[in-house]
Amino acid sequence: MKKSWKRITAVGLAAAMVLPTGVVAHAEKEEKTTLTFAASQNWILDVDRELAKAFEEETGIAVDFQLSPDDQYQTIIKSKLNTGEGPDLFMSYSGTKLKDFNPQKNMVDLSGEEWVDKLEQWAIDGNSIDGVLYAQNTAGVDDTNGVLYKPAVFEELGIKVPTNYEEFKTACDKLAEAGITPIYEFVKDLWHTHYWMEGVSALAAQNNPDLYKQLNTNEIGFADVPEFVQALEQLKEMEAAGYFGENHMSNIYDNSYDAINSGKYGMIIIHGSYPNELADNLGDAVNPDEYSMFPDPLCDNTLVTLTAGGTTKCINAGSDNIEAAKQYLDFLARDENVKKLYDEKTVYVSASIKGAEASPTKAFTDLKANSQGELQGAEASVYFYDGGKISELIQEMFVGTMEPKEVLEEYDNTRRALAKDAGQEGF
Amino acid sequence: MNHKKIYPSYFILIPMVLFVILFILPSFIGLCLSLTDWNAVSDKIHFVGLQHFIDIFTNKRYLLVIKNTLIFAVVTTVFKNLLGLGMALALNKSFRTRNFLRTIFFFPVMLSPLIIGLVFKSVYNPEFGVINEFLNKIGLSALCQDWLGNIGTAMAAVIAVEIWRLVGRNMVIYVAGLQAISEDYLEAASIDGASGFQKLIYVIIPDLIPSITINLVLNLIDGLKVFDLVFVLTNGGPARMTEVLNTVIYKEYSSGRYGFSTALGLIMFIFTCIVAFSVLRAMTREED
Repeated sequence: MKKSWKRITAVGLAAAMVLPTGVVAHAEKEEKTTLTFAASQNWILDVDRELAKAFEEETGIAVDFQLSPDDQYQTIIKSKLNTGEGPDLFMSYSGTKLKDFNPQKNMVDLSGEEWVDKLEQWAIDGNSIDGVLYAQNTAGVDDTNGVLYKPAVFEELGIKVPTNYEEFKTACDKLAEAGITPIYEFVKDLWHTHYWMEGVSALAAQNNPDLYKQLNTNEIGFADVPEFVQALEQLKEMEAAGYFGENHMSNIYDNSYDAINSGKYGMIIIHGSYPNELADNLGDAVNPDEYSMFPDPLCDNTLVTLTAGGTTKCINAGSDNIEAAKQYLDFLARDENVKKLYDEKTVYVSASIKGAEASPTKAFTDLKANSQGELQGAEASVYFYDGGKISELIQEMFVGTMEPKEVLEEYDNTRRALAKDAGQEGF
Repeated sequence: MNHKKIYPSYFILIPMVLFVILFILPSFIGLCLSLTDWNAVSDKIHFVGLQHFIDIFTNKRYLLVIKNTLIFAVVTTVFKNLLGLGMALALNKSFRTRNFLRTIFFFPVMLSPLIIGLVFKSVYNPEFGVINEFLNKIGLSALCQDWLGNIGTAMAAVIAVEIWRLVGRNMVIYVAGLQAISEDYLEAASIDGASGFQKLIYVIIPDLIPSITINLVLNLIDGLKVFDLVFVLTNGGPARMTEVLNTVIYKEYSSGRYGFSTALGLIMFIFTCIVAFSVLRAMTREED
């Protein structure tokens, strides 16, 4: 009798252990689908969340945004994909940057989706590798860079809009004399400082039409491009002259809004939609039309360097929710949702959807007017271009442990090693 | 009934199997992968021999990282031990707020290094940080620094946070060691006319050797393995001045160079084993 009670108790306890897991498993089956969506923290705004909410109300599928700091996003998302723990959807830059994520392995082929016909051809080209569309860019271009300034301040101080490096230095000196730190540079956020060099790649490509082909086949490295070497030499000179102020090594992007709008700093090299972003972040007190832009003046450049079309959305090929993710992309591409996006997210200077109206800022329009042409930049055209790595090496140049040419040689070593590991032809 | 508690030797089989599967096998696979060009962009893996190790030990940039890691480990170990011992000696005496103070000093040990990193990132902020604000308030504006952005102060700033974080753990281990020392020895030393300092050197420290050994080994391993604090505070910058082995492993792995990062990981593992076992051996000999 005693033994049978023991048995009953043992079976009862075992059942108590097992049953809840069965109940939980059943409950999990009933749970709604949640799509995880990874992005850099400044890429997702309120309108993106509102659209995700509307999608959830319509389909019952929730979208969970997983945001990372701007300077760490690329690293984090690559790690997650590499360890098989990637989100259902993730964002990337368009162009050759997609190649960094091994699209054939990690991205779903979107070529046959209905919304593809709505895209401008450049938005299809900029999101395709070997003729396969791997990403959806329903947004638009938000990242064409130039040097932003306030014309009123320049006028007051008698500064001419620079058209070459010498004039740019003169402008910096006059700003400094007036007690204004000439340039807001945020070296700590690794995504940014390389823009000074990337900004002259249009000039380098104009001087050598085969530049990108030669870089992609390893005929030459970045250290062999005179414009890139000179750009870094001038950048070093600017830092040594104190044009970036005292705290540039720990400045971060998020503090740039106040730094620029308060007038404490005079210029910043940044994307053309930045004035709208300023207004979004600081409120109605900011008038985006108060700002203007000119091309990166290093190497006496007067060209605008274009990107492959800003940020874009990809579906993780390892996701368990590919169909739900495709549903979400379908939803975002609907006319009314595209209109809402463009109306409320005023950071796009040109639209990737046919017929959609972007919000080109006055600064961006001025940038084009102040330039003598435009060409695709290295970041959008060179395989395994890693702006973060270049920025990291520029930090070393600023503290004096590397010379400009050494920065590019070391970067070439890193890039070549990666390209060689990847089996890229010529490396 | 086996009263002698001598278990049959086959009892070791299951722990051995688990140990091999969970520890030996992954380590062996790691060793094999460190000899390949395994990466995220290509599905093919090629044998590259010792190439990764040659690249690491012939590149001054990686040697700098090894140097940084060693500096971090040694400096934090020394200060954590000295301060921990000092605090333990002070808090071993009986006074009203003793337990409260012990709790306060131990509190940072319980916090996540990530959270501590985020807090200290604000504390060190050159424009709005508490440290610079304080220096400004007391008229020492000239000492204001970009603590994490200046190559002269960045490593020291990170080291200071790590010391603050773990000094409480050292203190607790030393307090336990101090309480195990017989009062008789101290009394005898006093009767013999020993000063406080002499008692410390000739009575307390020799009896504290087991505690010192534990603290040295734990601190060295913690220092060599540091990642989260550096990642949050500086991410290895400025200009790699605070770059340590684990942040480089993380960056290389994220860039998709799995084989290379595995080689770095292996170096760190061997490094940690050598340092920890050497200290352990030396200190154990001292105990004997």
